[in-house]
Amino acid sequence: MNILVPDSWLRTFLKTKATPSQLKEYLSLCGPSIERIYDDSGEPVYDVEITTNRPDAMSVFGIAREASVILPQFSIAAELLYNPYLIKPIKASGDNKLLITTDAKLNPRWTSVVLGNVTVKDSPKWLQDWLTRTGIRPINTIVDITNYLMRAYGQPAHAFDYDAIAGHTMKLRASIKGEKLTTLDGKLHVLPGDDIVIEDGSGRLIDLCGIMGGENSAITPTTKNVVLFLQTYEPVHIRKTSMKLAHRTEAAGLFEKGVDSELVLPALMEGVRLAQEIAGANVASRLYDLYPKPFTPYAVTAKKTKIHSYMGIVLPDRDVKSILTNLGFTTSVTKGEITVRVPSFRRDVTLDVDIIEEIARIYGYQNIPSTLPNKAPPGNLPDPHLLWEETIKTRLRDWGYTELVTYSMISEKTMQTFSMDPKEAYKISNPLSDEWVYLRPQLFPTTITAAIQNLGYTKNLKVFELSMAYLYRPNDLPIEKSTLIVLWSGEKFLEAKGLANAICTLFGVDFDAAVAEKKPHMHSYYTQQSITVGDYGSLGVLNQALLDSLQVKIPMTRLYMNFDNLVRDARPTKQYIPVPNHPSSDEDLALVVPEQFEVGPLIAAMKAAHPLVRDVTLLDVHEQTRTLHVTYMDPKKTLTAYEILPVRQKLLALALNTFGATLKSN
Amino acid sequence: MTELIYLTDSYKKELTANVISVTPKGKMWEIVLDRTIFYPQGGGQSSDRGIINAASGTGQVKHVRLSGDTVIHECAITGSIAKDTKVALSLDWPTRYQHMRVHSAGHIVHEAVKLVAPSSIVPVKGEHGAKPYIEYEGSLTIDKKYQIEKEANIIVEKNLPLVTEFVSLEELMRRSPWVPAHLPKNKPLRILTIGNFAPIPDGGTQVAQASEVGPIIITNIENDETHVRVHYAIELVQPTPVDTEPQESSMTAAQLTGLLLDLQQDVLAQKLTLLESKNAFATLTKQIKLVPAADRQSVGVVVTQVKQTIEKMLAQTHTSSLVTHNSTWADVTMPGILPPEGHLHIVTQAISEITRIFERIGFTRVRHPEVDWDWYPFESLNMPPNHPARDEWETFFINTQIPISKSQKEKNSKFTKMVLTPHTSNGQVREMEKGHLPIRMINIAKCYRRQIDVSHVPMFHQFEGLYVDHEVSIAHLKGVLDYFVKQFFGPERKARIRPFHFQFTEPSFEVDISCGVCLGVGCKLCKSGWLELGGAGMVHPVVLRNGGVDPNVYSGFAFGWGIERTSMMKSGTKLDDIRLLYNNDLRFLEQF
Repeated sequence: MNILVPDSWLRTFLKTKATPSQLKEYLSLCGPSIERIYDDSGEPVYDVEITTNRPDAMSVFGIAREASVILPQFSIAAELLYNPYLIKPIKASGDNKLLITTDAKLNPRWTSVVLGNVTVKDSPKWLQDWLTRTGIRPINTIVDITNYLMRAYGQPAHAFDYDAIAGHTMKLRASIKGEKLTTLDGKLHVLPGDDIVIEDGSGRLIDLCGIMGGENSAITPTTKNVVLFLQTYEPVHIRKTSMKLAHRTEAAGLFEKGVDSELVLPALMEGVRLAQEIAGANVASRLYDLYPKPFTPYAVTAKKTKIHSYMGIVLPDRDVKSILTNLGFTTSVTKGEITVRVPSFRRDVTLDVDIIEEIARIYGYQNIPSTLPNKAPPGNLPDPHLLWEETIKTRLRDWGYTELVTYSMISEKTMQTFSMDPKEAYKISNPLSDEWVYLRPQLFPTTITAAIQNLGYTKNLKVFELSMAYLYRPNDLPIEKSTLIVLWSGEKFLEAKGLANAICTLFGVDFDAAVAEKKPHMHSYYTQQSITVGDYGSLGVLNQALLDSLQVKIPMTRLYMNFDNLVRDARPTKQYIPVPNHPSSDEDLALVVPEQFEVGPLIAAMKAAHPLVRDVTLLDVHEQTRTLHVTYMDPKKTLTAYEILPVRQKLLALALNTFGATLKSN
Repeated sequence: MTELIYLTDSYKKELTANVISVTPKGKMWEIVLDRTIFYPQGGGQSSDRGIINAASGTGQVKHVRLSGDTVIHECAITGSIAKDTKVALSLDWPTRYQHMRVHSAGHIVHEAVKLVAPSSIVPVKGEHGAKPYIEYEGSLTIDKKYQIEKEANIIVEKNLPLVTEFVSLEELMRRSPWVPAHLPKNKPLRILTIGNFAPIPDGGTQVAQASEVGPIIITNIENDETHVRVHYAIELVQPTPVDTEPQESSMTAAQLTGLLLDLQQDVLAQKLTLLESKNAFATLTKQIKLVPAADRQSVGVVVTQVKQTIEKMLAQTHTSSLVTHNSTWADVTMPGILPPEGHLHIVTQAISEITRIFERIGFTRVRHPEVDWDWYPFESLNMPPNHPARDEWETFFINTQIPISKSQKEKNSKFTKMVLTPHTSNGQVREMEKGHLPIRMINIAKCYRRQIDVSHVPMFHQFEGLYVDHEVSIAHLKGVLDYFVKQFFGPERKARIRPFHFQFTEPSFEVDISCGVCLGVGCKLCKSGWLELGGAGMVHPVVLRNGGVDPNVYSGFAFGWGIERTSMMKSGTKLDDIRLLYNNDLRFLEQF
């Protein structure tokens, strides 16, 4: 959390010649981070970020305390002033009684005092200025004092109108679900239950403890008598209530992180002093301090070897001891260990590594050397999925395809468009928008949705995405399945088939064999101009119904590949085939074929027809003519026309007799 | 007179016959039978061979000839064969069948020649022996050989029938446009008809169907002053094993000359490249030794001639192409032809680069679930339910209620709630659970947070480094961060760490990188000289313990931050809205 600290306020607690920019730089390096310095009417105001584990530093005094330890490390003298822990409680007495019932589990420490004869008016300018500059709106003397205490010491405070508390009775308890309370800001809350509340003598709730006081007992311009009230609460209760009611106040933020029970009474004393000074108040009751289990410092020990191992350097004992002592830890050093007694405000320190952090940060991370690990690396084998992903993506890029990356979440409508069963999908219980409700069971819907946005200005769309689909498993995490989708605008069946072939070849997977399996399509996204590629996917021209539902007006073609199966079956090692010493002979055969002719089987049959036929490829398609390019080769010799002719005759006879394809006459 | 059974049944392989006469001639015997299946040499077809078996002996038929209308079988006899006895005849069928095929092929070639050649050429004779040809009066250019070959093979492919029959001369003249002169008029003529071609007189044995002949090759066309011979060949039914070293005389002068002329034609037609021409010529030259020695001189003349032609042609081509290259005007300002250009998503590019950088110091990329049990990104990382530290992550939850009794057997209470991982740190304990130490991992994955604005998107990518070993120190973390920053952002950049807090590291750090503009001094862009990069820390003992690692023996560091932000900080793309990354607008994506 961030707080704003006016420079003049900070310097009431800190005597130093450090400039604002020095404060900013050095605190940021070793302690709370001063993110920026604002200028407010000539006064520097520090915007300080304090991490959640350090509620002790979420105050002007807390920052001063850190600075008093850090600045000397940079050879700048600094002295902490007006340490509240040194404030002694006053002897209070008076006739105004409070009948208090509380629960030490919910409320470890309760302090309160009644102040009489208060003047509720505007605060003096110095207080108004400080509050304004720290981001708090001045209200009146009494409320401003409570806010002053919270900012100065990090101790939230509250003031009730003493006369509005029925029977002067305050009963702190856990709430019952459904109880109602209107807070100071006028909001009516129906309580979720087990919230810490205070009930007065009439049975009404007057405080939503730790979060905000009740409207019914608020300070008004006519208030004469005030209950000044400072406590600590059990943090989890405060957090739960605050979260459930979505009522986040600065007080709640402090209480849920844990404020120092030892600071409660000094802060109350400071509040009384201020009330006397600026609101003419007098103490009108005894001091109520219900604190059955006072804090006792506990010890934490760290091995020196561990300290040195963590820091990568050896620090002299006296430096370690000095750092820890300055931070408020009572420190003792033995031969092998450092033991500290933890002060009440640093209860975040419980482990040896916490001590190490304190030593290291104050010593200065900038003073620790920078060195690469010098131990042997583990020598793990890389995950083949990840290697293949990079390979395929790079290939696709070089083949002219552009990669899309789409959100993994899809809308209910998309689920319907692609006929996907919501029961077989993971649903987000707190979606950010209707667009992102389900985890996509297939990659295709998001990829095509993204792709078609581009159709308006791309004539020749060639895009792909290689990402996860999330397959449903009851009562278990999804199977995160790597999937490749490639999309083209237009009827690009042969491009899709060629790409699938090339990808299979890259993986060392037999494309022709996979296609020959003729598995049924899993989804009916295609026209008849489509095929399956065994276990590895499918490809084809998308059907009209799907395109209509996506309002796409042109044909589109898709390739889907089950990337996991490709990786599973990958055989990328190439087998050596001796390089031929003899040239091949090539010729083109133009064959006239019947209607609806399938050229694939013809090519396959011709390839297998004779050992001298090294390869047969489709060179050209024109009307009923298929021009095949035939390569003849004998690894042992150069073929002569005399030797090729009978092979050619055999190929032509095969084409004629089995496939009805005749050589085109000139 | 001998009855010629083969004329009506060329497939008859065995026959019984009566011996008319047995006459000695030298060491051989000449046997005359009342009927025979043995074909006597003639009409271009070689003589049959075979066996004549008698009760008293066996005759090896070496040669058969026709004398008038009597067939004389020239035999070597073991035992004896007597006049007026019955004998059993048996053909050497493979040889005979080969003869038949060659002969039929000759007729097919003839039909092909008639289709291709000018009508001025007149058939003279056919030779259907070892080196078969058809001879014509007139001449044919050698380039006709391809067409003849093609037409001949079409007949074979069509599998046309070959029919023989006896007709009168009048009948023949009616059916055929051309009949040779000097045919006897007073006896039936045997004629051969191939498919619908015109019949032709023939006395030889023929196969029944054209396909039996197999592929036909026209090996050469040989012209002399008045005549032309069309040489052809067919495949043997049972190919004889190929000699490893071709023998002399395995090629005729005519064949080699034909091949040389083929080559010359191809070169002239510019069908071959320089290299191909030279190779082909060299190959053919080597084959001279296959030609009978006596004929080599005549081939040599052709070789020289072809060589000169090739060289002249190549010289011309070469010169002319040089001239072309040197003097032809070209518009060199035309844009070049670009290779296909695709684009990887910026995030993919950054992931690859980051992966490579860490690989070089022994960190291996891994991937852990994007959808995970709440335990891994939170509880295992020292963040129990309702811990305020969880507020740092705007987490998406999955709408599943896993009955505890049905969830995983071990650690069952841990696996009841699912989340979209808000950071890659879920990989820390998962990696430790693999049980292999030391660990140097880079976990890169998609992460999800419930926020969207110019600097946040609900899905983004993080990379997470984890190093667990003995005596891992803050100094090592600084070393690795410095290494990364210099590798990724540039050697002049520096990293620094400042105190921070995370539940799962102790101490925890915020990592800054020196500003690329002012290099850490402070400027308008960065204010303080440093830019925030992300978080890091020494792995918290609780986390190590949750991963089954003893914090008293091992220590470790971890760091992790967003790929998108890191990438944008490097590239200086001036990208002012991170949402552009996931709009998937090609006009944007194709810029990278």
